[in-house]
Amino acid sequence: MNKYFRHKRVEKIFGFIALFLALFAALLGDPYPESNLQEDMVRPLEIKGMQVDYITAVDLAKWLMEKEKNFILIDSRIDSEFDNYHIPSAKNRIFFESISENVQPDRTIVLYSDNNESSLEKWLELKQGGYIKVLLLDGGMRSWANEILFPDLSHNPGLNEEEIEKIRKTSLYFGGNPQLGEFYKGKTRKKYFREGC
Amino acid sequence: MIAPAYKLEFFGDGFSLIIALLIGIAFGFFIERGGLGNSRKLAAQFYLKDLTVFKVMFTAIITAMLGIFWLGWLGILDVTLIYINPTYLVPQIVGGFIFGAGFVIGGLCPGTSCVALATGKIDGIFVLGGIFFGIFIFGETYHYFYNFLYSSAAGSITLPQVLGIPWGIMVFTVVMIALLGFIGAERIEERNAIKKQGEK
Repeated sequence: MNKYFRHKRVEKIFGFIALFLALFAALLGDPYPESNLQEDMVRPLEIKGMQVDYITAVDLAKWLMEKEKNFILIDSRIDSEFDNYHIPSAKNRIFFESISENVQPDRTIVLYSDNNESSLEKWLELKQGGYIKVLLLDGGMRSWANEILFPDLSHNPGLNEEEIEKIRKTSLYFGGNPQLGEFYKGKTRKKYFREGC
Repeated sequence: MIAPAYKLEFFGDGFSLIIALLIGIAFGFFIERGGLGNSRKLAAQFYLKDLTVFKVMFTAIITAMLGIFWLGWLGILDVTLIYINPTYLVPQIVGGFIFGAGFVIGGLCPGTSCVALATGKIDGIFVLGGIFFGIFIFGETYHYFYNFLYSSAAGSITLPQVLGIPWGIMVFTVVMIALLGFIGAERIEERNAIKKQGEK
């Protein structure tokens, strides 16, 4: 009986610790909301009169498909993520470190990371290094994955067949896997096989 | 920031596998010590006789949640680098029902079936055999379910995003649900124990 109560006491102590930590968590609210992070970085840039320019994933895909050579694409994520997947023709961080030796300041540079916030620092570095036209991939890899590689059109009846076909072709061009659902009636539908877990 | 150490490249693939093995052994050990390698104990959960599974799972959830929140706040863990499994609502609900049905019938889930097998329980062998058979059948018929599996895609979303509330409030809410759930679970267990004594 005594042992039972001692056991319960330990549970209660842990319960109170959890409650205490949760109460303080509630008071802190959101320690690092993404939007605030971006605002915190963008605001000082705007004060300095620097406007952040973005390129959408769809426009970048178009440039790549049209073999546009007037720009350099740089992936600023860590090496393991770059090795895992990167947008075709993208250069990695090693290239970024020595960019001043290889790229003229008048070249257009497209920069991307996981999201907008994580590439802003590199964007500022390039701007301060004298590069005039530096574009950020709007939404970073997350947008690239959602809009180009794995666009979900299965619940998007607002698009016409031509638009769906265009999105499908773009996705397949980059080795993606569009989710077309019942709205796609094309004959050349790819047969899907398992992708692993 | 020192975590997640693998994503921040403090070590490579080989060492990460060693860590995974150690975590796996610790996971199995604590599951076994918690008594969850016993299918009768697990099945008793669904008859509201023994709510150990509920208490263990919810304890794990709030421990991990509070750990991630506070380690993130202290600047030790980069929360943005944590992988969030994408949500496919309808297929995941259906999957949950299939998983639950298997759990009730077999009395074990994938993790506990490995523990049951390791401790020499024969039902563990059958459940694990069933899991591998199910994986094989699913793999071979995957393309038939393709459209369904990727339907109702919502991306890598989290509860604070969906509900539009601050993360800390969500942490507090889940901890409160867990603590009240623990009190409720204890009462249900006591009531069923009294009934059992009364029956005698």
